[in-house]
Amino acid sequence: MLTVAIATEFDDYDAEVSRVLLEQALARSVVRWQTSIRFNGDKSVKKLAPLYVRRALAEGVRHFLFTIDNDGGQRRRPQHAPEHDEIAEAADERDGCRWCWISRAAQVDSPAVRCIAVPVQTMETWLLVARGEALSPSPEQCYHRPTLKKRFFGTPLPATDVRTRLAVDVIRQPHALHALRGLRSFQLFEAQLGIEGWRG
Amino acid sequence: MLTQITLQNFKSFGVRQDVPLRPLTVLVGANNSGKSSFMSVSRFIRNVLHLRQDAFDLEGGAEGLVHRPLAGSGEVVVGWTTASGGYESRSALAREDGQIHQEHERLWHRDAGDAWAVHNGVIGFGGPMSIEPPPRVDEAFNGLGWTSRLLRDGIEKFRPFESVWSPVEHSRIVRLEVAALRKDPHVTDVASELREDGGGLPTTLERWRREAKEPKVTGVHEPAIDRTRLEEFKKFLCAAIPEVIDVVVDLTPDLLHRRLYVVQRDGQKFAAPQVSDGVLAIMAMAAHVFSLPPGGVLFIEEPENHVHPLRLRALVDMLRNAVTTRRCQIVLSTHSPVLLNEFRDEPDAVLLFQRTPEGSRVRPLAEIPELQAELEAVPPGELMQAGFFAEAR
Repeated sequence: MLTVAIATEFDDYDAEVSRVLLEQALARSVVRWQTSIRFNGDKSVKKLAPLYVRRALAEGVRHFLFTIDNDGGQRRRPQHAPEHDEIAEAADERDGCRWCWISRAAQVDSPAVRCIAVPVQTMETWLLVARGEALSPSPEQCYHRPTLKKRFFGTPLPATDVRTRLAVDVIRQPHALHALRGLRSFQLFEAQLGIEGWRG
Repeated sequence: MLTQITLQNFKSFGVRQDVPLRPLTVLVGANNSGKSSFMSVSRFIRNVLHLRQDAFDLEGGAEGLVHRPLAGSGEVVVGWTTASGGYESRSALAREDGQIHQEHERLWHRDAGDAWAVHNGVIGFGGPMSIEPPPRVDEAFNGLGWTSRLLRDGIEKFRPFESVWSPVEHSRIVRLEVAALRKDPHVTDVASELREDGGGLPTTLERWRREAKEPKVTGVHEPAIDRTRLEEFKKFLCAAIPEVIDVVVDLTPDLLHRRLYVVQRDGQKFAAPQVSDGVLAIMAMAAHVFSLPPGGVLFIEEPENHVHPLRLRALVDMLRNAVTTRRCQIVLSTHSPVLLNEFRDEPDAVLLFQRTPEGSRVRPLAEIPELQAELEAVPPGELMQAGFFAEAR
């Protein structure tokens, strides 16, 4: 059983969905580090990440997962790429790459390990792809956040527990990982899990 | 479900506003922008439908009810639509007596046509209805009074129109006051409704307890009794406030009143006067939600008052569940960025109220062009806090 500190924009939903995704990707049981710390939006995760890491490390947590949406940019909406200038991207409060944002804010030293997940654009993009829906022309073009949410959950949006159950059910489908592995953003997420600290 | 409320020259509303409503709608705007005026229309119409003589007085009489100076056509317009029909009243303020006088009033159904319409003080019944000689209804909103009388007389032909007026008839306003929540109702008071200030909560819970125990008689038609709501109420409460494991109603030591007690996980039992404001407020809001009949509309003023920000999420979830599982409609006003952020993905369900020289103006956030770029980038609560909504033209 792996205990992971999971920092997300909305703990009651994103964190549980992220936990199950991690569990599926690692093929091992994952439990969330229990804390009363709660975030509220991507900027909140960015701002509080250093404090969160410090608190979790002090309690012996060695595994971290940070998940935020990539939906806040207006002039551009960069997907993370290894060649990004992390400092410059993180300094761009509005349009910077969200992966670089969190990477700069949430530094974790060995032996602790971290993983960053930035779905393009929201978790629901991944969920729609995992459900087998064709997003045309590509998931990355479908940029209106409420549209993605309503397309997956319907309208009016259901309560958190219902949303979480719907999302987790999709992720646990046998074909879900296979579908997600076609997305560059998911490949970036999964590539970080190849190291020994995660695989145990 | 109410799909729209129309107001003109009603309280803070001057020029006509057609306000669209969703199953769960959030009202935002500065103080004095018209949110409370908007909510009060449901109380007013409900009181008219219930033939309360003080319906006008409760809204401040003609002086309090009519917007000054008169805007647009000068008529006072109050109306609503549902998926199946609607109602509209157009009245004028007489210079001589300063009172509101009927000009035109109509209740209609999309398929069945007009239930009735008032012209020049005479009510004419359409479709299946016929009353000779046609009664005079000189006073404003008197047609609604007729609706009540016809229904109370059991005129079955009027039933098709029930879907039009029943959401308003079954509407409630919630404007909690902690002092009312701490008060012990008299032991004889078992039938009273849960009040808009939260008063009568112990009585309501006691009534639910009794209803849950009533045996169901098979083969006999009985009024719809929701036997599960006390259980659902407690389930929600314990999930929203983990330290609470039960709520009970007991007699006070003098045996004259009923008192609410909250039982904590550590076994301690606190009477309402000692329970925190936030716990009482959450209980009262939940009780209002579970009191509402299917199809009813609940207008909640600032549910964030006294409630910890993290518990607001549980509250919003309860409201979302009520909309889907109990088929009710909820309209809430808020000044809380945390609560508003919960609606980040439903900008069409958030209505911005603004005060203008012509009266209150209402628009869904999704339809304000200059906010669209900001809403993509920043949650609405943060935009509200930073003053972006006040800048919207």
